[in-house]
Amino acid sequence: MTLPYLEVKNVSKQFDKAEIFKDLSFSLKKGEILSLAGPSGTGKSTLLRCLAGLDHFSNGEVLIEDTDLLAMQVKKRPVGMVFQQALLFPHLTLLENVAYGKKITHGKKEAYEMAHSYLKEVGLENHVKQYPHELSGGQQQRAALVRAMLLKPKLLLLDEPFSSLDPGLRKELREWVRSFLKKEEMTSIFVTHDKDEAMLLGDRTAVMAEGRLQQIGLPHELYHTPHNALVAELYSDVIVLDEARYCPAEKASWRAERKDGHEWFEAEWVNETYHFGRRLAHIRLISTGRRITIPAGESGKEASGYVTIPPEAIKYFKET
Amino acid sequence: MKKNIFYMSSVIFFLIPVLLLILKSITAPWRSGNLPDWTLRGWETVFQDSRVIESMAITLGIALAVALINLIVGIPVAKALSHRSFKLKNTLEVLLLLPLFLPVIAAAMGLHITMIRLGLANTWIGVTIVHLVPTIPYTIKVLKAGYDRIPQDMLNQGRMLKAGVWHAFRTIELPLLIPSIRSAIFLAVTISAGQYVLTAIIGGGSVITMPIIYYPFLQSADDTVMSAFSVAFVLIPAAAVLIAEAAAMALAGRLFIKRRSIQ
Amino acid sequence: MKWQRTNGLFLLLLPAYAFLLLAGGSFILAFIESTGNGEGFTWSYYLSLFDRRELTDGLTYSIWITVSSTVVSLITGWLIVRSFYRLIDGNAKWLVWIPMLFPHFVWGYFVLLLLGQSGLISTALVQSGLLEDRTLFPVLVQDRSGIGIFITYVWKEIPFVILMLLPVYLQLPRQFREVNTVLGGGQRHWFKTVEWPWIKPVMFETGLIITAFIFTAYEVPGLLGVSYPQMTPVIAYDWFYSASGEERSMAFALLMLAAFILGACALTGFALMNKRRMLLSKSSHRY
Repeated sequence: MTLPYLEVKNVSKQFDKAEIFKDLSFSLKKGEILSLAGPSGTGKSTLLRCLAGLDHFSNGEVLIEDTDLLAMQVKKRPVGMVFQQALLFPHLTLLENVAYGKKITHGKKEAYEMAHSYLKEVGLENHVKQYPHELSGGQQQRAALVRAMLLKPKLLLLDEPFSSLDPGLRKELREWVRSFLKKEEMTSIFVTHDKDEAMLLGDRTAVMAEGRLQQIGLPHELYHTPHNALVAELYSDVIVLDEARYCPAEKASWRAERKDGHEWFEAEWVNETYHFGRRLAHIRLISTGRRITIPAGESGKEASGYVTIPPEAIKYFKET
Repeated sequence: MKKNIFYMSSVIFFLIPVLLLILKSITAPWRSGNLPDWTLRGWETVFQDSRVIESMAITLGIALAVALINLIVGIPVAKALSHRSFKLKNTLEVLLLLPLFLPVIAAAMGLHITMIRLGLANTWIGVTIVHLVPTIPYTIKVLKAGYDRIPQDMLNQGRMLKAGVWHAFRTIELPLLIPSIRSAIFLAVTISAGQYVLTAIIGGGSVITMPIIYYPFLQSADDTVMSAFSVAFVLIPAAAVLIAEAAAMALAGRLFIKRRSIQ
Repeated sequence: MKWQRTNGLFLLLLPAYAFLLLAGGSFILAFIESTGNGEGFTWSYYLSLFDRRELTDGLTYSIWITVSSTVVSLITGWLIVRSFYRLIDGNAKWLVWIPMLFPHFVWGYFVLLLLGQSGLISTALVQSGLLEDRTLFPVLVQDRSGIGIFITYVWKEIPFVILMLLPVYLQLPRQFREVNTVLGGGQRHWFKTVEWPWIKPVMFETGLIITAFIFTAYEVPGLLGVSYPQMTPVIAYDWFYSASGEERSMAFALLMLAAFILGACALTGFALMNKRRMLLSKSSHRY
């Protein structure tokens, strides 16, 4: 058993008496990437800023290689961060931007050499003399990542680094980022509100909602065995029946009539879409007004009907 | 059409007055029926008068001191007002701008006795201090607008890259603030160089700046000399800006020359 | 860490406190001198102000000049920015800056040179034979009604108004113009719902700066004024240097009275506008 590289113990954050998050605990192994997913406004960014030292936890402890991270000043913390925007300094060239931090810690010569070799590695060597406004959004974000990596932090924090990019670029960049982080064996925490992005980038995913870490685990664990209704709704394709029970959406069906022995919901047909050759029905449940997507099979598209669930498909959340 | 009307009236109302003053300064008083006689007498009188030369040096010196103190006070305050949140921030901002809406002459008169007690009356230091009252509010305004344009996270990014407060200021904030700093210096210098009454009250006739001798000149000198003297006022902001740029270059080296174009 | 951060803020604000001490202190000292100089508090200097004929006449004269020059320069400057802000920002900004380079009294001298009875215009008229004698030229400067002062201020403040309003017009949320058009709103709607709320705070601020300045600046009336009536700052300046201690105290009372009125206007204005201002600036903060 390997000792955890980063250990976050019971950290909390209050702001003006309002609780942002409470008692978060998790640990990471060296080189592991954790995706931190969840709806916006649940304190994911605040968590990163506290780890970075830009903000402060109200309570709790963070150890990195068994040393107290929170006791270190921002300047001394072995933590790097990439923000939503690339935030390259507009008055410095690409090379100067990338070398900025390293120059402070190791001097100009070493910084420029290292910046050069990294920029070459990421295919930006032809742009070293250019200013940020001459670079594309993707190039800027890549440069921002390299700039943070140059300091060889023990922990790298990425706060929705693709959110300002267009979808095509996003897809391309996330694969690149993962392979880059893996090659550098960079222990990282990656914040996103996109489920797919969380699965693609992280080794494990933590779902954060309502100020708590709802569940942390491998992508398939979260997907197939969500611990509670919140995780299920955010991360999985299921129909939540009540606080304790859920059913994978693929097991449900759309019928004009109820079926004996099946759980049923009165529902309204909204529309249909196709995905990988399958027809999907978009349904609105009358009682709760929630919209769900289930396989439509060969059923018709009556304006109203029932979503029925076979009893053997019903599962129970692990948590009590 | 609209465009031409605008350019023409701008030229007539803003540029022509200065051109007329310049023209007047190099011609003898105009007499009926004759073409104006060209003369350098106006400028010679102004620049051969040792009092005028001395007053220019004093005006420039005070203006530069005022501008420097303005920056030293304005930059941290502007940063706090723009990038920090704290209790009563809006109130503090209003209070700092309040001198713009009040009679500065009252401030100068109020300071008079205290300045005498402190031994600062009739000195250039006292005059510099009283010139801060009408200039600092403008500097804070201009620099705050400058800081508003720098994203907070840009500075956080600097901290994450291990830049200390001073290093981040020198390498990130200062270069990005250059346009605002230039405007602030320019404003402070022109306001300071145009003060008659504040200088008269605190300087008490011992600190002879250009405005102080402008008024008595008006009684004695003719229009040619007065026009030359009037135009000479432009030399103060011009010299101040040149000196400020030179100082910035000396401090920051090649960085400023090279980077100016992209600001 | 927490302590360090607040401490940093204190350091940043230290010069602000120093400046408030200087500015606030100077007004407090002026107030003390206006109320009996510490030897028994009295409002009597304020009351005796209005017994002086020269002052009541001077006040009417000053208020008239202040209000007319402020209103004219504010409206003219605003109309210019409104119609031409793109051109100004394009390549006419330096033209607008020219008058800003010169002190007010230099501009006053130029007005004298241009419009005085022996000025350029009257000379030109006489030379071209349109006017028989320069004494027939109307007294526009150093006149009893203050026309010369008015012209100087308007001429000098219009560029100031332009430069204050220019950034506001450049930052007007243009996308709202499309929204307004799509929703069927006309020019009047645009003005009422977007333009006016955006410019109002700056118009107020600019107007008040100009009012305070014109009402209390000595330089221009000192140069272009006549011996009677005189503008407030000239009276205050003369009283300040008067041999009589009472007149000296009255000089303070006069200026402090102006300070109270202007300060009250500024504070109420900002208090009323602060909320709106914050909302506007929040939506315009784009990082």
